[in-house]
Amino acid sequence: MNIQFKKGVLELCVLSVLSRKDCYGYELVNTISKNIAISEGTIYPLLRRLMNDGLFTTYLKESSEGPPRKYYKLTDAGKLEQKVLAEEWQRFTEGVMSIVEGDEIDG
Amino acid sequence: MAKNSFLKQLADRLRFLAEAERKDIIYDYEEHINAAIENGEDEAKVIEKLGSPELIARQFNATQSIKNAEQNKTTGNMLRAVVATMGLGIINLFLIGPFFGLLGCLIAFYGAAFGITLGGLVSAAIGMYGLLGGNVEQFIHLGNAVSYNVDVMSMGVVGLGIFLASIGGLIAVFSIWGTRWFYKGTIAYLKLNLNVLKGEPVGQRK
Repeated sequence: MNIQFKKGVLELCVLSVLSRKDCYGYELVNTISKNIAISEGTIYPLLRRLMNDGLFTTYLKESSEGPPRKYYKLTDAGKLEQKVLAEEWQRFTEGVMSIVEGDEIDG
Repeated sequence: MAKNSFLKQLADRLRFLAEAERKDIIYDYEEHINAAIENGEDEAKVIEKLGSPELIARQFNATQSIKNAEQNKTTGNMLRAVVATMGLGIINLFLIGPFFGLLGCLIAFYGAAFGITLGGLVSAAIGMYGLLGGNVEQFIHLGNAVSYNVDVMSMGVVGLGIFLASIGGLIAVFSIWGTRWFYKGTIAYLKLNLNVLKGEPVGQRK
């Protein structure tokens, strides 16, 4: 996939996964990388940045297999950001597809 | 690569970060690798999918250096932020020219402001010296063709001096305003770049 296409999209992916349920790091990364090709290690810098921006918080929860895990939970600001980004992305892809498929509005 | 070697390489490269934050980040990656292994993944494969520690560290370092530049507005901090973000390989190189061009203009404006203000102050001082009865002609030569009154000329020189100093001050104010604008603009642009996911696909969709 073209690098430019991925601009900002990863943020939408992270927020969307978290809008359905709280996740720990590996769970979140795994969900995303199963669907789109990414360098998995680069999600963590993004997570830290979004957390500093107040889009989600973290908490520790015991796991059955070992030490407690860090879970990510969306804040209200994060939920709102997810909605805005999802709508923008929807409009954008619809526009592109109508051009690709030839039923665009003529200039 | 083994887990410990990956974590050590990453820790060594997180130069811009405070100790507590570095530990926190290393903990996140350790948790990720452990969880993947518990999930039945191969250690070496998990680490390969994470990508190179160098590239990961660059992202954290760039984010931190921009934060530093935002909190502590110094030229050094801004240049470090620019260099760190350039290290991500995502800055549009065509913008480097205009960046240094604008930087050069700002420096030139400061130089002009300083020179014109200084010239104005010196001129005003000479005029005052003349008004107080000093021998202005050692500084200013109008030649013999013009006859003039020393007091009137001195007042003119004072006026010219004050005028120049004001222009210099005005340019200085604009330069400072321009610098703020330039600083903010640069930070905003660097942040925009951080949002670009460095595509380094780890293979096709599985």
